[in-house]
Amino acid sequence: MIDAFITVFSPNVLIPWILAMALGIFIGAMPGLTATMGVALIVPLTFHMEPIAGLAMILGLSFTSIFAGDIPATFMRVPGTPASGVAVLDGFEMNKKGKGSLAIMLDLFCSTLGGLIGVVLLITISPTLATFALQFTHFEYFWLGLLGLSMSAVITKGSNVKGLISVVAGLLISTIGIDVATGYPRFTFGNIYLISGIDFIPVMIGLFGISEVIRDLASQSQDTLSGAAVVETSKTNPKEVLRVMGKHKRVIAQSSIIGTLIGALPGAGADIAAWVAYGFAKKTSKHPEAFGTGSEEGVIAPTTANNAALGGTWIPALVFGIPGDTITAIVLGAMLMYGLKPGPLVFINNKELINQIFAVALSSQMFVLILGFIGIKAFSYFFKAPRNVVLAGITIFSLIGAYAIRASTFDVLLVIIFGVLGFFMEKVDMPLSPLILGLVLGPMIEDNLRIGLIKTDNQFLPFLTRPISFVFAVILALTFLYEPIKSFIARRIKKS
Amino acid sequence: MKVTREHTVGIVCIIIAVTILLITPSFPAGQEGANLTGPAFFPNVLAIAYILLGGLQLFLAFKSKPKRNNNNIKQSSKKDPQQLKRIITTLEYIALMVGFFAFFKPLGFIISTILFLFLLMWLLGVKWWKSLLISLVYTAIIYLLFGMLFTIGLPAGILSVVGL
Repeated sequence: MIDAFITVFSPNVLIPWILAMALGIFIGAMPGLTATMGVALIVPLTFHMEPIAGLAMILGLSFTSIFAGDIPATFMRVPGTPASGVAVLDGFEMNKKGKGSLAIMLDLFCSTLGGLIGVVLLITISPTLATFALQFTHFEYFWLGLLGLSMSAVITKGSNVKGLISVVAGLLISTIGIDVATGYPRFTFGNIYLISGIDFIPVMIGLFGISEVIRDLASQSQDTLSGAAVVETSKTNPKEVLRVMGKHKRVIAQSSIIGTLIGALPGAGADIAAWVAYGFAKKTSKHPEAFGTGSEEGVIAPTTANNAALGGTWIPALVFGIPGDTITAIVLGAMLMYGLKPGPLVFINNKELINQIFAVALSSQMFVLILGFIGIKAFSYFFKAPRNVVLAGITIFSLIGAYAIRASTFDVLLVIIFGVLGFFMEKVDMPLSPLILGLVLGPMIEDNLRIGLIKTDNQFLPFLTRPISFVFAVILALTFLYEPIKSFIARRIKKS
Repeated sequence: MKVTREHTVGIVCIIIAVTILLITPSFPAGQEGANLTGPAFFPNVLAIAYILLGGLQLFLAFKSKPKRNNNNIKQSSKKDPQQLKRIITTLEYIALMVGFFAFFKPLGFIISTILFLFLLMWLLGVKWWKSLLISLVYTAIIYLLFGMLFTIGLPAGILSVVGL
């Protein structure tokens, strides 16, 4: 292992690695540029390097960009990456209360710690976990999708009915476009742009970014972005950050484990991990009512989980050659290009490389801390600019960011449409994040449900009879029944 | 009985659900004619869920006492000279974005972005020369970042003649 560290700290690995990590901060903090996109963009640059240098660039970039997504989420309410969608809930609320600096430092420290725990878990438990996930079939993935959706009910503050309306809206939007099973274009109304479906990134940028600008222009109250974006200038003592982290060490521990486990499930990455960890933290918190109003736990849980998930996503990728998320899907492609065949044999034939990957993953956390700090400083200058300049900046970066995903002007229109929709949804107190969750999980739920039904000749019973499926179904039922049962038992105890 | 925002949410849900249920019968059937696996199955389930949720929302809206609403009406009935101005600014902002969308391809990234940012900041009350300067800076940053560094094909539009 020491040899591995010596190799990865040689200049030909270290220099591109650090540069990629610095680029990651930038990509993460730019709405519309995702970690996946960043990785996809640097892979062509890595082909002429040693495999470990290329893999170090990819690993490092993914860690910094997932953290940096929280910077605009906290200060502008625009998630920089999908995994920061949850960070807008409490991070931005903390910023509005003048505690933005504490929120972002918590993000940085917890991202680093979460990333570290995720990597340690990757190193220690990877084979067992991957074997378990490999047993999953369509039935289990269907329940897993529903479990993800049920988190939105937990996340929502206020009316549960409106939260569900928002979730179903997301699910409905996910059905737009070509139906994968039959090739039939659904709800496209002859529009060619709708055939490939509605990408969730422009939806997310519109709902959170543009709607906030509209709200700001329409209300002009202190409550909105104009007040918040510029408020935070005070510095936060690292000791204070560590004190807050010490207070919530249980949340950090549970979120790291949840993040890694979810990351290890093929197809579920940092974004879903952040949602689930947030929901779980709220469920188990002593102050669930504080969530969504600038709760420290609400900031800590998602940011810890999404970086921990990155370690998790490498578990199935390395052990079985199955991507844990889109980033590792690209990694697998890159590894094949380097002449490496991911799978159980890698651990035997390329033991050195595996150790080097672990060394890179561990050391990257230290660089996240340093580069993240520099990144926050750099962006704070942007936030101190006059309000109208910031508003114009958010607008143009949102519009161009949406265009950049698929070079489609239609996505620019989507940002505008969802910006207006988001504004009206907030007017009627309807939460925005469940819509995103529905949109992301919709295809996973629908495809697995339908393929499962085709396999069983339209029988639903087999969805319940497989052991892992059954456990998932029970957990799902408990998520909804937990509160009523708890209050029932409490009443019983009171009576007796 | 006054229709409030709460009622509107329920009504909109039901309208969307009914529209979906009117469209989906035109979808083809699933494997071996089974409806459970066809493309209409999932949207139909969601539409039914929307009818139930919309109904529940309406029920809750009727059940809740309109006490708070009276206060709202009183508040909003107060003449606010600033309010109309803000609504107009908001509409202008949305119109500017739609204009940007429409002219992005034909005019090209550089011209449409400079124009859009200049007009937007001017609308928000920034001095014209400042607006122009900041528009140029923003456009340059985005061009360098997205266009040069990440080689995303930003439309050249009418500037394509000069090779930009």
